[in-house]
Amino acid sequence: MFDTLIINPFVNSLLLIYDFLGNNFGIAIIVFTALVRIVTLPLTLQQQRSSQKMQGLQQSKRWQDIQKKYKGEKQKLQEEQLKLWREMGVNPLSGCLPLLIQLPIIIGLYQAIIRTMAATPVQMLDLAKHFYSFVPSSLIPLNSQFLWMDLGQPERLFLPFLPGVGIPVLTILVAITTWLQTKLTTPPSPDGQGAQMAAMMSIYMPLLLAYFAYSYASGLALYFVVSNVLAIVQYAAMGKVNWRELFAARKPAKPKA
Amino acid sequence: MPAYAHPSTRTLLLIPAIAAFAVLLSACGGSAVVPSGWPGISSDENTAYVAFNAAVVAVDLSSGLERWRYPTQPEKNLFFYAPPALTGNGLLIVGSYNNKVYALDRESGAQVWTFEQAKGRIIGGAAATEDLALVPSADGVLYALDLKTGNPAWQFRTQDALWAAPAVDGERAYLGSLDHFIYAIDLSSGRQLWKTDLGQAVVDTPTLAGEIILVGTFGKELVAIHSADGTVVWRQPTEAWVWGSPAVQEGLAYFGDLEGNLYILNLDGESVDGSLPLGGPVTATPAVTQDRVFFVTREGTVYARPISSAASPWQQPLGGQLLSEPLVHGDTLLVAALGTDTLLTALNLESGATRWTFPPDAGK
Repeated sequence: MFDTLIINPFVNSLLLIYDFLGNNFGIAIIVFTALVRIVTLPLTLQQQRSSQKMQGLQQSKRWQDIQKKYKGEKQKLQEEQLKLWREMGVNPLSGCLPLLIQLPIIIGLYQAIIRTMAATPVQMLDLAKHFYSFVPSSLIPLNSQFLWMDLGQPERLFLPFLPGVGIPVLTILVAITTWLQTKLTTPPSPDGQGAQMAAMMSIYMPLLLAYFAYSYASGLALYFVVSNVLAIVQYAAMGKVNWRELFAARKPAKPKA
Repeated sequence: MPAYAHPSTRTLLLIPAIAAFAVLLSACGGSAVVPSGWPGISSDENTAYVAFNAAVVAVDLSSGLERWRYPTQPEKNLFFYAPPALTGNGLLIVGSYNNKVYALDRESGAQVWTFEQAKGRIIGGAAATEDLALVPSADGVLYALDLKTGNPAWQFRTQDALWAAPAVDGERAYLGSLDHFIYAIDLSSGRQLWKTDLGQAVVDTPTLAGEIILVGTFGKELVAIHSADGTVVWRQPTEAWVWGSPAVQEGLAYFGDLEGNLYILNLDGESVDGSLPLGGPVTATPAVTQDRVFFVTREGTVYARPISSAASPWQQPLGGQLLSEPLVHGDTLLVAALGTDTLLTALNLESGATRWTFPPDAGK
């Protein structure tokens, strides 16, 4: 089901873009990632609006008053929160839904990239299952060279004056762009727990993705970098990027009157 | 700080999302560096040699018991999937995903020499001549190594990865490449004699049938090429990609495609029997005897189809994925499986009954 709806269309779209762009898989990954970002833009916007609305509500005085008033009465607190949500026309799940819809698309995107690179017989056999009949099989094998990288292998840059030392340039870029993206696009949380989680995210997410970038095919690392940069650009274009957040420690946002 | 901490829905969702993301990445993302292949097998009079995961294992053909393994303990980054090649001087030549080629003593499994100059994985098996081992590498180079020392005699470079051994006819090697070409190479000098663009990737060893070479491609066809000059004699379309080259017996070519269709053609490219369905994709060249042709499928079943009227068909589900080329040894058919509790199974050629099985602990 996931293959039919997500992976197969993604794999074949990627192959067609690769074909159209003169057999450059690096450019194909960049263009494909950008296209998916554009297609999912309405979902991103909706998610952002919902989360902004929720954030505004949680920073309001009424919300804070309820928290104080019903401290220790969990049931009552939930009832009052629900009442306030209804009153203000906020649906707490409306922020989750776009994210849930986007998740399989993101997973499908990087799975498509990995599967299309097929560097071993087992992977090639798997790729054969995903091929649509109108996509020319003569595209196989893909040209995985992009700049100094073999996109089917983990990336290391070897410099003439550093013999035997491979610098993981993409890994470093993945770590930096993921940190930037997390810092710049996560809105300030109105409570301590949320702020703490956001702070943890800005540490662990770059480390996790950098580990994947270091260990796995560099095509995946390229996707991470492009995806992060596009996310920042997208948020910046919408005026949502808070550059002051970059070096600020995460603190709960102050309640509004 | 509020009395009741209420993290935003976005933050709450991000934590499981990261976890799911990490799990999914681990499941699929590593495939580009974690070796993935199927067992390679070969045999001599008494022993089957299986290259799979962390070891090459010699299995006694009469008992199904292990004789030796190389290395005795798994080593980091050492993975074998290429079918081992037997040489006239008692060696076993096998390549690894760590880009190295190992020459082992067939009796003891002791390492005789190694070759470490390849820049790519050794995915396909080697071909052995009287004095050379011809080793294809994913770096696109065919390395001709001196059998006694492992020193390179010559190298032949193609434009893309090599996943299969060349076919050798005494003076020439015929090599298929993922670069869409098939090459004829002079064995004494390593010089190119001709090359032919098939327009599609070739991933298996071509089959020699008299004066023609038969090779399947990802372009859904079997192509016959004149061995003297590389001209295409005929092309026979198929329903799906052809991975394994045909087996030829009594002037007929038998092969399957990745949709599980079986084809029987004469050497003029005419279909003798229309495409006959098997139960699953075929990647391996079938094994053939006077009476039967034996196909293995990715769905885990061995099919014996009669060639002579005296033989009867049988099929034997073994489980796992059967992607490696089956081998006939006397009255036994050897089948290697991927992803099941038996690595190697010996079947009775006549009935398909299991003679013995060998467990897949070579990979542990």
